[in-house]
Amino acid sequence: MMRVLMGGMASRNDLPLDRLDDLHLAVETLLAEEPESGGELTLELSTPAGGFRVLLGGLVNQSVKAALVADDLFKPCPGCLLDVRLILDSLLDSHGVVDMDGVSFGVEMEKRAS
Amino acid sequence: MSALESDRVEGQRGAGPLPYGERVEDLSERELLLRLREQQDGAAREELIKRYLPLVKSLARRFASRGQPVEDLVQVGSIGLIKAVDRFDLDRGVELSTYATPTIMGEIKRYFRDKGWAVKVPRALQDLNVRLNRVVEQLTVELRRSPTIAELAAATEVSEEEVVEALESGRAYSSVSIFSGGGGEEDESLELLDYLGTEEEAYEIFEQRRVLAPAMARLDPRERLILHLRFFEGMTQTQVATRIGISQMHVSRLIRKSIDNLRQYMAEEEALAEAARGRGEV
Repeated sequence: MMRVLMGGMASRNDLPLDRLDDLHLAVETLLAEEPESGGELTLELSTPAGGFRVLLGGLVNQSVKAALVADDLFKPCPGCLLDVRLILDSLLDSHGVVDMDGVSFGVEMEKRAS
Repeated sequence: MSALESDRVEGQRGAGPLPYGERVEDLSERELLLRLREQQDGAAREELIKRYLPLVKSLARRFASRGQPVEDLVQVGSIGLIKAVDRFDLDRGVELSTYATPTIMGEIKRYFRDKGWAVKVPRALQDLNVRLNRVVEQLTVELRRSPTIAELAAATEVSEEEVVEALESGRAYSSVSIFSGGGGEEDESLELLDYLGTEEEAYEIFEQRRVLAPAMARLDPRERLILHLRFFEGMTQTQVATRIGISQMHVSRLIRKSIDNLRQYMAEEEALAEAARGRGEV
């Protein structure tokens, strides 16, 4: 469902297929890191000029949050969190953590059309 | 024996009852085919199939790494062989093996294609997905970039909603067929495997990074290559596709499969480490 919605929105903004797929994969990667018993997730889609923005909210995996907000550049070391950062850095034009209700957080992701 | 005598003997044995003491196993391939065509001789048909079973096994083994038991592939390939034997036209002047090989391969590939649909997807949507795979390829070359959904809709003369739906349905296509090429029926589908032999250096570089070791080490070499190109070389999906010579949609599937595998391996290793800690081994 998420992919269909994003596909529909992307078609309005001329986002090329490979860029849309990168965005899909970024969202799927974050979802895969969430605990199965997590709470409600939200997905906000918007199409600013020349791009596509996704806000995935309701995330609770604090380790993922820590990896994403770390100031230092990605430093390889054993651990699954690093691949989230690496994957998002590679797939997206920009991403950032948004604090939500003190418990959960969101990740805002942007992909430009070209 | 002169050529004339040889033809006469072949003609005698190729048609009518076999001379006393002769066995069907002693007949040449041409004699067997003649008996099958002119007398619908079941024993000749059976003998031909028996003789070509090694070819089926050989072709089936070429697909051994694709997640399906080779015995199953031999069975499927045998259906192709039977079709080839039954349909073979002696007058065409080609060898039965020449005719049978693509028929057997086609049957095995069809099996992978049908088996690959993990959930029930309407045939029309499957077909559109296959068409889209080709159109994406064509447009990527023409436009020198990945096409948009609107461009795909225009090229396939369907609505944008249908394009989105068909692309999504493609995800129901499981990884058993992930190593096939651009979706063409005739392609050998082994180009990626062939290509990988030249990429040892890339693997070494990637392994030196040791980013996700040791889980990374458990990935298939082709999975490591794809991840390396996409995430460490910084190539886009389309660039990876061009580099390797497969479709962008295929690259997309490979990336997902590789990441899924990586995640699974890491979970397994974490569980093992946890168990070891529990036993006081660490």
